[in-house]
Amino acid sequence: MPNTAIDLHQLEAEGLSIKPKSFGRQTWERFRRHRLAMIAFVILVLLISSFWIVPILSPYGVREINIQDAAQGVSWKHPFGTDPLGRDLMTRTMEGAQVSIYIAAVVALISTAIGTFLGALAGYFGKWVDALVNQMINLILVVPALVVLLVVGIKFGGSVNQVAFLVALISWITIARIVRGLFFQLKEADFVQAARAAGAGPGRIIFRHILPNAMGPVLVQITLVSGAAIILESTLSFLGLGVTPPDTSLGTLIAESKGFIDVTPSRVLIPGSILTLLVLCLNFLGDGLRDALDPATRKTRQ
Amino acid sequence: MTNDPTTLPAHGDPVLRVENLVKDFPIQAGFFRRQVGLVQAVSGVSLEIHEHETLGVVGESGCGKTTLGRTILRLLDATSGSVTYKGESVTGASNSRMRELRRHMQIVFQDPFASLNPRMPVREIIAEPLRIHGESRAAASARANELIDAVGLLSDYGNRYPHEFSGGQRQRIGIARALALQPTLIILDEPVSALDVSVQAQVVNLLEDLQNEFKLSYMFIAHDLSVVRHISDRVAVMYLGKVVEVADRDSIYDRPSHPYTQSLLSAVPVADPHAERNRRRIVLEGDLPSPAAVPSGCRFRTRCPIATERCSVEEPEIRLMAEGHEVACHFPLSPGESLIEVAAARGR
Repeated sequence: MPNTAIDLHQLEAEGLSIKPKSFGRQTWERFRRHRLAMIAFVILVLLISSFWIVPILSPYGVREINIQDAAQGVSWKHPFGTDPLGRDLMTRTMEGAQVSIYIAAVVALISTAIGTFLGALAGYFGKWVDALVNQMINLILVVPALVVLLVVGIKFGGSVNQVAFLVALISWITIARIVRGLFFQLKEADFVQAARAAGAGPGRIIFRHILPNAMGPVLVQITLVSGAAIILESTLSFLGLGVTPPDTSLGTLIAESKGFIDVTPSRVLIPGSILTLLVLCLNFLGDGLRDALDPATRKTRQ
Repeated sequence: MTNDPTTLPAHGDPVLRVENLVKDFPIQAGFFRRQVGLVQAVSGVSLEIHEHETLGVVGESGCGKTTLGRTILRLLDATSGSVTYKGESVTGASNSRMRELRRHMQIVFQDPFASLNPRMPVREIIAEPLRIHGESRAAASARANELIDAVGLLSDYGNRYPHEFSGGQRQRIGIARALALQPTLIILDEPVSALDVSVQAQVVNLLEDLQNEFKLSYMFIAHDLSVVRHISDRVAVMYLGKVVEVADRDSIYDRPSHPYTQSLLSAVPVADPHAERNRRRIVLEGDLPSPAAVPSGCRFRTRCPIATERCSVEEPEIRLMAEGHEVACHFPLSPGESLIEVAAARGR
């Protein structure tokens, strides 16, 4: 018995023992070694901060009309060109990207809240609760999302918050399914059984034991949902049923410029590339997080 | 099935009495979750555990040992039968009573890697049962430190997370957690099966020391017969959800009566090479039948070398062979009789 104690002391003396590493710290250390995810993370941080910094530094207002400079291509004066009203597209694109990010964040927040709550209920209590939540998920799965969003969008679309809310109404199901599965699995785990044997009630078991262990995969899913939300919002806006002028988002910008693809292709390509880069980075970030949180199922090599 | 539980005079009133305990798992299939079958993991088990006694429960994988342990603690709800702790019904306890009863009955799990919450520091894991039962944070923490020390770890390491410990150390943490509420009965569900042999011995010794120190009763579930022999006072042998033989340790190991017990024991290697060379293994034919389709009559008859017509028709009742030695077999082997010889004599 004392052997173990001695061993640890020896390790300490030899400088091999290290300070206790929390799970978060370990994850971060593993994440840092995931090159692609680290690059994606850095790009994401730069990109998103530029969305807020550039409009402040820009000499042009977002809605500042300047007819002399209308419909220009890329130039030093207007790096992203201008639209037919002479508005500076760099400022406008950043503004639009801000809206897209904002929507992604709101969608992530709402769908995580709904998805975790319903998924946890379904997974923990099972039986009819699970059946009910499953039917809700199935309903959303079988109904073509875009069509419903288009119809609902005609009635409720327009404001940024409304669009975010509409997208969240669909996005929560992926999180709910993941949380449900994790709860099903984790509620049978020995450490949960040990807590039950000690007399822990459902509240303690859910919040202290199952949720902390389920947050990893949920975090991964949140990054993916954010990416999907940006795409869905852009689709809606492109079809004219999402964010509508004078508000703008990446999708709205692309929609406004689609007639000019032959004249000034940069007008379509720039917001399009930003959109792609954002979603791509979010997905790589998700991959890196998954590998870092769950080294056992790692797919990419370090 | 039997109604007369094992009686052993020496130990006084039992701490735990299990009577005719049954645990079914429904097999569901199809869209409407129709029940298409039944797996009876535990079918009518009766046992007693006395104060400061260790009851070993042995049997193959899938014989229902683990389910038995969990049903006793009501981690699973019993289908029928009863469990009583010191005269108080466990199976019929209300939720609030059950919470109280849990103070007295704890469990140690087999897999030291799955039984500790990876997101909790060790001290918190050990203190949690105390917190659940209303202890203040400071008092629970102080007690956790004592327990870490009691199981042979350094209390300095209470801030560490489970992944920083080895299997044996983790098992000690699991034991400390089980001790936190000062229980009288601990169900040890294969507590050393997942450990290296050298570490097994340390943990078994620790369990024995703790038993003496805290006057604990153990139900020691295992498939390793030599470990069970070392630690148990009495041993129950399970086959396919039923107890086929119960006796004090020496009777089981020296005078096994049930053909299954004999064949199980014949599989234990002997340390002495000469004896090992002469050891005659009884190799059972076939696999453990599916608990969803148990054989008629005696459950062991499909693999028993001496089974007869009667065994397939009539289920053997458990009956007293000698003082404190019970067997469920139509043709129990008398002391000294070897299954191989009996089978040979019957021309098989």
